[in-house]
Amino acid sequence: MSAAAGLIAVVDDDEAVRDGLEALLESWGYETVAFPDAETFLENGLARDVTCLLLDVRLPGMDGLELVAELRRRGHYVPILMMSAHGDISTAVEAMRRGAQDFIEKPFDDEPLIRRIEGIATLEQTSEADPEARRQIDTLTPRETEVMQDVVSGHANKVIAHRLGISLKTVEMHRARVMKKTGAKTLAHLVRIAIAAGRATDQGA
Amino acid sequence: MARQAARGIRIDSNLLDLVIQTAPDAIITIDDQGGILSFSPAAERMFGYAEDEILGQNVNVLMPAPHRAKHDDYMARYMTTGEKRIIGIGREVRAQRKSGERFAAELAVGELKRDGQHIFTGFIRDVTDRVEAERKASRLQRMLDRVSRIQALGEMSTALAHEINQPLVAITSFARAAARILGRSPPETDKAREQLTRIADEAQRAGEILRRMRKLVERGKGDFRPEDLNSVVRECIALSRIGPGQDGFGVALALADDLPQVLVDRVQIQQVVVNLVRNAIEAVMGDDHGEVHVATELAHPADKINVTAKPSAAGEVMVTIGDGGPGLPEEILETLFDPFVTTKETGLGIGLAVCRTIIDSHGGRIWAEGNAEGGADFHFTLPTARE
Repeated sequence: MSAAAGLIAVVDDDEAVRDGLEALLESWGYETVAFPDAETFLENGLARDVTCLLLDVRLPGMDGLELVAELRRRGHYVPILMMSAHGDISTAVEAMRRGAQDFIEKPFDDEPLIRRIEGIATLEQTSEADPEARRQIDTLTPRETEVMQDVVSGHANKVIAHRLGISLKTVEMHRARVMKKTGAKTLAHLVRIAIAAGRATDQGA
Repeated sequence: MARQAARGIRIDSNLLDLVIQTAPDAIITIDDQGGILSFSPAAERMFGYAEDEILGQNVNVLMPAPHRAKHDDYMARYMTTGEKRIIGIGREVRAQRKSGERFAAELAVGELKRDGQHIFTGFIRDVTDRVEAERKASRLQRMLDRVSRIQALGEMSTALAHEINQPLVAITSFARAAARILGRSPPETDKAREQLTRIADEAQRAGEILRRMRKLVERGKGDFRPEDLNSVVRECIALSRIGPGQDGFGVALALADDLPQVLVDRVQIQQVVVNLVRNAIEAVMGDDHGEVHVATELAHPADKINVTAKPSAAGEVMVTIGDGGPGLPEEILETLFDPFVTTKETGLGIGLAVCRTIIDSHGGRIWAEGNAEGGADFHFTLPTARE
């Protein structure tokens, strides 16, 4: 275990979550620093050389989405991993649209968390009109595109079936094909591709 | 035998007979053995027997079991002991029609003696409709109580699912961390022990959250404990933000420092605060200038303290939840907390009624008024817990 895997900043209003995540990340060799809210992070966190910001969506005062936007507005490009509650994908997607790199649903285990943090660190910053993403998305059929847009808007398969008037099985089939064609490994990856291709439409929750 | 009444109307037996014939209540007379002596037309309509066929029969045919079998004993006991159980008292009883149909009736019994014979007069009113209406009303009330609780539960369960995630994240993290540092050589046992303790704490916390959720659907007595009202309010603000379109709403907090604790059922007070905050958020939705503000303060009603002799008589804590929305029509302020009163198009008018019930049960007051911003301020008070 390398002693200098990097510095992770944790922003969560729950003390136990902060302490737990710090203990976990430290056991993986990361250095950590934790803040209870967005304002404190802005005041104290930016001075440090943060490798990754692990940010909860829901915070008192300025919330996670606002912090993402504020950081980007200030020109800070610290990689951000959003933590969202189960079923709160649409908010996580919105965070990615504002410039977060990835999201993870609470509760999560350590390996997926570490994988994402490492993934973010090596992630190439995708530009607004990423030709590769565009090319991947363009291979989708109109129906697959519809399904993808619903998926990255955070809708459950059941809801998508209802919205598009097709069966659940069909949705699952389209969804699997979308993942295959785009080469997306996770939902967050798909969201990133869709955003890069400018194809994640805002449909709300 | 005839008497002269004040206004010159002759009261004779014909008139009395007419009164009996036209009385809306059934009038039945019986002898001391229970044998029916007379059966008024209203009684005929009520019970379905013609007077001719029932005269001489035991009055217990008009009663369902078990009273039917016991009525002779009731009468015998009265004749022996003189103890009045129904005479001159009246009560609601079950009666039975000729068809066998049973119904609720109000029975009043009078007694007279003639030639050494006891004669009892029963006045019977069919209260089927009233009882049915009452039954329906109370069933409806019970249903509404449940609906409002379930509705609140639906909203709360989303929030609580989020809350449960927090201890779960902490538990997973501490557990994985502990496993990893125990695997080091040498293992960092002190640190791991501390983390294991935190895991147990967080599991307890998750359990407490679940208990709270379950209590929402349970009825019955509140669980009154001294609580820090500010922490209850803060928790509720977080809960209130959850829901479509309610994220990112600014809530201005002005919580007084050093408030004394209040004696409350935390879950119930949460229901009140969440309800009021959600109402306030709804009131300012779609309005760029509207804001929701929540304040707590110590309310020392000076006059109260002067009047009460007890030095321990504590003050009250007041919570104010206000909005810069369109405000409340003057005429609704009086009835706002009554069930089924609502200003919302899709509202049921239950939320504020539940709030009032809860605050009443805590010995506090709840009221609404217009505020300087043109919106509405909702206030409620809670008595402080004694030291």
